[in-house]
Amino acid sequence: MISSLPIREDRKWYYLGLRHLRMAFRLMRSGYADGAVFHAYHGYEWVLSALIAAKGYPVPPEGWTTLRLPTGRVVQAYPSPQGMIPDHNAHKARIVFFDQLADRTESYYRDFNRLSRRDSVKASAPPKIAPCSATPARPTP
Amino acid sequence: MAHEHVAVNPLRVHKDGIALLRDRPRDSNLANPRFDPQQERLFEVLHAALRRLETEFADEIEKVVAVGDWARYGMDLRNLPFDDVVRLIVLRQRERPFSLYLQIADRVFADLGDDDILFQFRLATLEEWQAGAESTRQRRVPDAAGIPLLARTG
Repeated sequence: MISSLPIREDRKWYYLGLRHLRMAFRLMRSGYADGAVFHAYHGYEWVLSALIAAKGYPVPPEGWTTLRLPTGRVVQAYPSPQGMIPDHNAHKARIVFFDQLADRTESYYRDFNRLSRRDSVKASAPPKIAPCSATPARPTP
Repeated sequence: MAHEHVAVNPLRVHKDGIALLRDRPRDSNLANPRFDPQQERLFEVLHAALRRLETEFADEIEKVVAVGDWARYGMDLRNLPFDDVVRLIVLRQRERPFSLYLQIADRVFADLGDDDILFQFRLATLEEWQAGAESTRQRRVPDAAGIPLLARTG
């Protein structure tokens, strides 16, 4: 087995995104539109993940953790630039995370905004905890 | 594509549908102390998007329907923007090109300022909609067809 150099996390997601996009194109040309949609969607999500990783955050579902809020309440969430993302669903969390991290003046944000309007796939997820309106939380020691 | 010049009923807000949609989340929000302002915020943005659809795409749209769990069962508004808030836009034409999807995304939703809600949509042709509606009737689950928000009424 040939050992490989470690790959940067953001590049890993970006390459995965390109790989899924290539698969989507091939499936589309072969007449498998449903498979093309599946891989195109995953290509889209992996590109979102690349930016999340590039900004130094773990890509959901990684990073799900327990937080103690300033009020003393303990919740589970993804720590994010705007406090926290309390939904464990990785699909929606990546979209929300990207929206918080993206540069809205860049042209890619327009493409993201267009595509995020497509009703998203809902993966099976544990029951949601209703988010509270507390200020950004601090990780528990 | 040629269009026949046929008088059609105008596309209007479906007041009964809006009222029903307002009533849906009440049971899911009994423990939500911020229900009223969140509800107002949701419908403020909803109406803004519906106005844009009426203004920009009246010729293309047959109706707009709230679909999914938020329309069928209601939702705890504290779960926004993570719960799906989806509208089905039923087109008058026989195809639903991706270019139209992009136009609607750009001209209706792009600067809606709904980061706290995240409205999403999908397109359907009238034929697809009618097949789906018939299916819900046969399965005796009319609620699954959704709640009308914009419709062509006389």
